[in-house]
Amino acid sequence: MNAEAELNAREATEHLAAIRRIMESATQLTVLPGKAAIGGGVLALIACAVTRRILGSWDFSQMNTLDAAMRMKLIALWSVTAALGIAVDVAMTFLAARKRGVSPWSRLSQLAVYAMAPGVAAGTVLTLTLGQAGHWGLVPAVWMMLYGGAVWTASVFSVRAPGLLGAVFFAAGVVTAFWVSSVSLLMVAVTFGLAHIVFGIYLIARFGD
Amino acid sequence: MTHVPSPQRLDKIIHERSRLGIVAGLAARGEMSFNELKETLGMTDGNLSVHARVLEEAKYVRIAKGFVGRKPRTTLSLTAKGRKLFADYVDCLERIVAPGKRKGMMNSE
Repeated sequence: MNAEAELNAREATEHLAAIRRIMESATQLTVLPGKAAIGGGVLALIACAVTRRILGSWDFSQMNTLDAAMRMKLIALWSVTAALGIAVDVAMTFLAARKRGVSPWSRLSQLAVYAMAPGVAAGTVLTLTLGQAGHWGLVPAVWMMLYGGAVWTASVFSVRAPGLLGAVFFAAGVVTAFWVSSVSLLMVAVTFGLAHIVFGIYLIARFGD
Repeated sequence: MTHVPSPQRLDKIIHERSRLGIVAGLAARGEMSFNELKETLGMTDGNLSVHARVLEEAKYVRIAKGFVGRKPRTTLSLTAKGRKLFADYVDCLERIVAPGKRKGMMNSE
């Protein structure tokens, strides 16, 4: 193969890769569910309201003042909230994909799940270990930063908007860890609750969900 | 011996990166709103408008303006000509990459 043909083949390969990427991104857009983000946000707000009522404070470190049984109830509440959030996301994604006639489990969906899995797994493990050590005050910041990082990474395979959401979560986690840990539960409500709802409304307004 | 097309034989209108992106996106979805395309391709309003107009004038793309509620919505879709030329373009690239191979991503349709 001469130099010109080799260059042409390389260029053609790049063009084909770009075409595949764009076609996949265009399809992925259809399975990005704005309603799921709103549903997850509402669930988080409910969990925050219940937690605030039990703790009597916006400070998550007040978990340390609860007896073991009540603490387990709150852990169960947040576990159920997370599970419901994922279930809503999966259900809405499936419905949105079916409505558009595309596969809900596309290659890009798989990549996004793989990108998010380490952050979510690390968040679960750190929640348990920090909680056992009595560092409940750090848990919300860890959730925000790991979730933000996970969403940021997953956004590489999607449109740009989730990347901004990830950045907001990460920044909120840093702010919470360093400056406003006394209202860490409120920060959870602002990020996992309000930010998700605003993001979902944005997606629906922008893409019609 | 298999003929390997040179880049000069590729469709010049589609070959431009931004327009290729528009056509590829529309080939995948059939129809996309202006905002969806802009977001998917990371293009500005002006840039997308200019390239969409070129594709519309070449009759590769159809642009429809309508309303969703009170909000204006511009929708783009590939014409039959645009879809065929995009398939030919991809086929051409695939033959450059792998001479002799005929079936590719667009031929599976």
